[in-house]
Amino acid sequence: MSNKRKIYWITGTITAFTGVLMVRILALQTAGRLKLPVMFGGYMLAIAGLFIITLGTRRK
Amino acid sequence: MPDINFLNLFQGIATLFATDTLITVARIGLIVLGIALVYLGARNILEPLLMIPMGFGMASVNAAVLFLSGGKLGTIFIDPLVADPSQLMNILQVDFLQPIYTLTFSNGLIACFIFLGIGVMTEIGYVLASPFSSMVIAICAELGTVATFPIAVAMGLNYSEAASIAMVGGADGPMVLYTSLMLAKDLFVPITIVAYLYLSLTYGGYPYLIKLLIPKRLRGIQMDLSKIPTVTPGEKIAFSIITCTVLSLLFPVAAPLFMSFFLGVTIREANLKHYISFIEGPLLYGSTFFLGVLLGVLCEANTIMNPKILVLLVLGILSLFLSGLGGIAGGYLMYWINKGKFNPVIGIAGVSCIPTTAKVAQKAVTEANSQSLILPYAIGANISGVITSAILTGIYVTLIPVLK
Repeated sequence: MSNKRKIYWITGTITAFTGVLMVRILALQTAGRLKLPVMFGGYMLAIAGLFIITLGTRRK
Repeated sequence: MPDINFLNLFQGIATLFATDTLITVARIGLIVLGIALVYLGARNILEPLLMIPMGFGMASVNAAVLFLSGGKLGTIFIDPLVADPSQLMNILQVDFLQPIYTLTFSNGLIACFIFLGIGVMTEIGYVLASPFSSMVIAICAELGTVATFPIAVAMGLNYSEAASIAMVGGADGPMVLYTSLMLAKDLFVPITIVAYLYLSLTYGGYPYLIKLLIPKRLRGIQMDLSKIPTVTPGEKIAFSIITCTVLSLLFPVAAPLFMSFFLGVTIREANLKHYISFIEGPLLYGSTFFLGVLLGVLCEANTIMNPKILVLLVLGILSLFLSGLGGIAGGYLMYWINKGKFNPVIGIAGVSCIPTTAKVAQKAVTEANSQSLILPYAIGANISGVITSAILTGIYVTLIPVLK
């Protein structure tokens, strides 16, 4: 696997699991008005991470 | 000569006169509808794999009502409302379909089996090959699933019922079944019947929507198939396990569905031939068969006659219609982003009735231009639609209990 594709895989996986951490841990610890944006940001980050992985799966 | 009550010898007929006129009319109507579904399924006008067992079940259960102990009316097929464990143990030994219903249907297992089968038949490479267009189209095609929710609430349904009927727009039978079992157990029978009946109709209705909204010139656009990249089986497996883990962490209540789908994909990519032939064959067809029979048998007039049924019929068709509109809008968006080098018909494949909508899209394109092949992109959008519908199931099943 080329280095560029490895970077997509690693970045995508880390981004996705960071999003999961934001939703499942950080959002629960956050109180008040910040809770919803943290949760929403986490979901978006998780899906963005999966999308980044797909960029690393492609070869012509 | 002994005094024989001949009507009691033919209790199916006697019970017609021993109940409300409305229920009597409903029973007769459902018997006729059941026969019609068998006919339409046998003629391939509606999906035969579901409609034939469903029609038989529907006609039989409404004909076979009898007098049970205590003068109650019922059947010896299924009692879907029994919840007390001691009563349930009794009824499991009496009603012949009760074990299948209790142990596979009411807990969502049959939906997961079907999803496992769908995963084994799915070529996830097409999503990975064109992720951006697949994702955009799939998100747009969830318009019905999202927009129907507030409309359903405005029409008098509670949040759980509204979410369950809105999922019809996701056009995925197992997910509608799963959502309604989790959120609206009282209405899951009519909602699931509405969903499966309408899903059979998408093959007939969506081509007209495509022709109405997309001119022939655009329908005939050829896609560049040489640009489709290749994805190795190892990458597909790695993507499946990571995506399954991430989505299960985010939406644990929908984890059975995610696990079933991605496990099926992984089994396919790992080329486990015996598992593939077992899942594609006996498991998938057995589950589909019993799903059809159980849906039909659940259409007993007393169970299905619910004041909300008319509202559900309207909302179901609205949800599918809006999803079709959303998908086509997604197709147009991709056409604009790609400066006219994207066939907008692919958008309809974002509605995740797999592989029906992909086939509908290809058929519409072939009619406009016989040289144009869009199926790889359509299947990518189709599969992406399955994943986004599963995500929306997770969102509804997670959020609705919190909102109540």
